[in-house]
Amino acid sequence: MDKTTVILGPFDVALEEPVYFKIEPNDDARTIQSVDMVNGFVHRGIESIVLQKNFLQNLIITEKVCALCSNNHPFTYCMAVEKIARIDVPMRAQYLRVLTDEIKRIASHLFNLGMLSHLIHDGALMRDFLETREAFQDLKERIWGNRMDLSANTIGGVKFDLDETLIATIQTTLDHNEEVIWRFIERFEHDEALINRLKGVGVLPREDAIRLGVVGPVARASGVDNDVRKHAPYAAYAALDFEVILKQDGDVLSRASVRLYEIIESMKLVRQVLNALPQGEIALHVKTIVPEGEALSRSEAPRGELVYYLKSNGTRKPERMKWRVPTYMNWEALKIMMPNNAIEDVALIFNSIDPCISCTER
Amino acid sequence: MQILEKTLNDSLSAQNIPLRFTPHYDSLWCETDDQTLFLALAELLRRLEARVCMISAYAKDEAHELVYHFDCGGVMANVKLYVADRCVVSITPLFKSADWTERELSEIYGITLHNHPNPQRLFLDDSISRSVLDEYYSLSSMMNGRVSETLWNKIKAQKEARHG
Repeated sequence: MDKTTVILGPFDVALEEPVYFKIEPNDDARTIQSVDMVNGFVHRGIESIVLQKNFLQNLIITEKVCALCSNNHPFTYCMAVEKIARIDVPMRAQYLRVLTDEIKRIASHLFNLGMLSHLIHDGALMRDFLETREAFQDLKERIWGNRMDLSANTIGGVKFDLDETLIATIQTTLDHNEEVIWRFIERFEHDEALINRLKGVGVLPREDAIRLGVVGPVARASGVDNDVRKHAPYAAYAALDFEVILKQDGDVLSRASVRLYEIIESMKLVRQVLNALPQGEIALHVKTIVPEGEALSRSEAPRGELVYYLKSNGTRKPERMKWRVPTYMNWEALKIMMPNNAIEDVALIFNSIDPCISCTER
Repeated sequence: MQILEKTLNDSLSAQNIPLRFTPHYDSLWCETDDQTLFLALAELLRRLEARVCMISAYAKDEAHELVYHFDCGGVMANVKLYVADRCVVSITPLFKSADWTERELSEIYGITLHNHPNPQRLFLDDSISRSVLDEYYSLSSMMNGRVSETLWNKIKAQKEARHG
């Protein structure tokens, strides 16, 4: 059999963003022996750019690092600034930050599941996922005026508030779609054709997940519990009740299942925020003069742990600002997930880590 | 955090490692310029099942400071290492989770990694010089502007050739 190295990328319709895969096949020429990946096609040097901007300008830049987790970047950045400047964010803003993040998580997970359906050529399922996501895109547009970059955060709080009409709109959207999510879960747990297609594909054993330090749904699908919202609570998460979803099989099906159940948990969190939303200010009117100091902050983005390090020397611009996104940690796991799987499943397994290359390379 | 601080400091004392963690904001911090002590501390953190979340590097005067951010049971333990000679011992043999972030600081700041199992470039092409963060590249010279200029020069050359 022909054992020619198979090349995928860097630009391919099966890939959302540019990556260069070099796949060595097994003797059967149909399955993967090993995979090597070349990165760097969307490296933009943003960590250098932010050192030339002031703290307020960087709020805008961080929102542009990535689209799907665009809220987590300014959110986590703000938390780092607020630690150095010793700003106590009002409780109403803390709850509204949770609401924003969870609505973004729902939309992000639905997009990933839609792409999964596309990659297994199930057009009807893809349409159903993306139609459901549209409800949350519309919701984002109603609340924040944008469907992707919400510009919800500011240093010292948030830039938006909810009135009775918006609260009712959110509740209606949740009511209409929770049942839809449960029907997706039912299908992923009982549709034999779907289960046979996804079960046992791209397995990441628990010990490898721990060794590599993977994060987010990728870790939790392999039984590793490291949800930042639970382990190092921030904003209002400590006051809210939700479950960390864990699966044990570590395959594509488990990662999809974790995301589906996490959507249900996100809906629970949004309902709690609406029921317990404190009265008061949404932001402190602070000056963007940040004293000398350094701080670390992190949040649970849709793809997992996002970490920001910020160092200030007391001037208007940061001395150093660095961040590490979830895909950065999950990437090397592909080298464990892919061997002995079908070459045609490379894009499916790649999608199952919910990759964000723009975030990763910056 | 207080429990981890006590565990770490007691273990450091027990092993006669003259380093101490102190709380700052919601995480623990420790500093050293001794790479042997740093490696002993990293070994201790490995035994406590810590993982490397990130390493932040920056230039400081003529030297560099590297801040290793470890997650240890949900608490961040940050270790600041002063590096005077652009050489640092790799902790990737202890923590696979340090692999990429060490390679990235190496290509961005031109810091040599000792004992890294795979010290290749991470994102930047080999044609770009080491310590790229010390230099200024205009975006247009690196990306589409450069392509457009090169393309436009070719078009102009062809046009001139056609019209004499």
